[in-house]
Amino acid sequence: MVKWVIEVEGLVKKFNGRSVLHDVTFHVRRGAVFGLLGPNGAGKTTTIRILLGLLAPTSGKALVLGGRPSENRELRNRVGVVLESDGLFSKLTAFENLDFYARVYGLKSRVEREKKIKELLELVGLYEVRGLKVGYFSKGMRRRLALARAIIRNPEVLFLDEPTSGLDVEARVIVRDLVTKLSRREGVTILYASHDLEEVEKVCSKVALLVKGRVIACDAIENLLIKSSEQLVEVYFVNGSDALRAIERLKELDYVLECKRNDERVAVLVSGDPSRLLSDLVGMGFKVVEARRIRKSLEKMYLELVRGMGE
Amino acid sequence: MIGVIVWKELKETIRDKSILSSGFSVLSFLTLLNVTILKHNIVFNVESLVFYIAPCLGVLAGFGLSSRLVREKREGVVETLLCTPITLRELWLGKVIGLTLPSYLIALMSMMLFICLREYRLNEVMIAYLAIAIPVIIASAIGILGLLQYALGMRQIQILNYIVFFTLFTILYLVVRRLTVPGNSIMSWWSLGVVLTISLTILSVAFYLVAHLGRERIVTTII
Repeated sequence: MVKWVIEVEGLVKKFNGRSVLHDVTFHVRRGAVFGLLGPNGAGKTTTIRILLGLLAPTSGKALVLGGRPSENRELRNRVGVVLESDGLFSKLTAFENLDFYARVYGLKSRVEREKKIKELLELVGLYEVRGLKVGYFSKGMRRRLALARAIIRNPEVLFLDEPTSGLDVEARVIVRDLVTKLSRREGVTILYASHDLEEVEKVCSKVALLVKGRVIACDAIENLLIKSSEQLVEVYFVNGSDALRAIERLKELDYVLECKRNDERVAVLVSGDPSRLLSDLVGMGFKVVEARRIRKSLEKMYLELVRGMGE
Repeated sequence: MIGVIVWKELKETIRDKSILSSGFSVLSFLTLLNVTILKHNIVFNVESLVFYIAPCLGVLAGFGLSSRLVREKREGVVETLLCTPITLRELWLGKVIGLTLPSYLIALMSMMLFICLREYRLNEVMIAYLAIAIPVIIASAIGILGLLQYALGMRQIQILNYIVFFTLFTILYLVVRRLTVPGNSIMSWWSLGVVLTISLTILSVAFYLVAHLGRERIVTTII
């Protein structure tokens, strides 16, 4: 059993001498939904293309299920992809598209193929339009069909490059539910590249943040939010006057960046470890009724990190 | 695997309007040719005419259909296909066969119609030429064209298309001009052998080269 399903170590890619990936390293374990986050041009698609064997790395390691898909047909049979383009044939119907890919992936039995295609079309909500040429499909419908195509052979690893781009809310929910189901119930390992932070936060367990071809953060989302340099803490005092007095004292502390009061509640933005705030307040003689750390959104953390890189 | 691709190509061809325009162009050309021959009472050699025109018409039809390869490359379909168990050589071969069959059918049907109108009786060389050499010529042309379309960038492909189009029409023009010059038939077992050898060589070279074409080359020449 391979420990890491996706292994990227010291990956470097240069186009005509210009580096687009610098020493990229991350690992994805079996059954995880791993988010590859980053602004446009960060190198997400290039990383996926290298992993799929569509591009050759300049140096470093990029393995899927312990091998390189470009060199191994059997390996490609175990991998599903939804790239930026849908990879669908406009002149063929939804059913015919899936039938073609099912045959390509080695589903020989016609009965088995038809059963699988029906099941997938129902899953992505396209069964009613199975006989319609894909050329008439909206972008959202094409994206959902592409997702059905990617999982036609029950892949062990799924690469999704901006899977929800251009989708309406309903389609986004379908994709999100499907990704969650594939990961939790079927144990599929998913690499999810996106700049849709809300989607990533809902779907992924771990993320790598790519900026200008470099991984600037790689961890579980919860850990990243905790590790983030700025933390927001809400402190409840016994009464409003205590809160007012506390603000004056808090401003003297070098790690306190900002304070805002609302009656007996004070929101404090601190730099670094927030646990010292409570001990300092108690040391100052304040009676604290409740103190809790406010969970920052991934978006806030993302902007913090990306701006820190001068993006 | 190749059969799956061929089947898909044929399905797409049936639904592709460019096959109608290819058929219409071929039919218009032959009608014009017939009218000119009858009007000016031109004496010509049917075999020589078929020798030159049949492959030109087939390649022209195949050239029209091969635009699908460029479209699939531009739309990123090839990229997705390369992530499946299909190898690039299988993909190329499936497309060559899938595009050759309808192109050959167009060329054969139009030539048979032309031959019937001229009340010409087919001999063995002519049958061998139409049945064996023509599909191989078309396949080699589509094969090399497909290889170049995979390897070249979009702008280069545009230039290539102009060159192919111009060359085909120049050949057709020169052939039609030769009609006024009476002479012996060029059709013989020897000429058939030469044409077949050249075509098979081109096809083999393309078959060899396509396996050595890097995926990166295809992916990075999409834009």
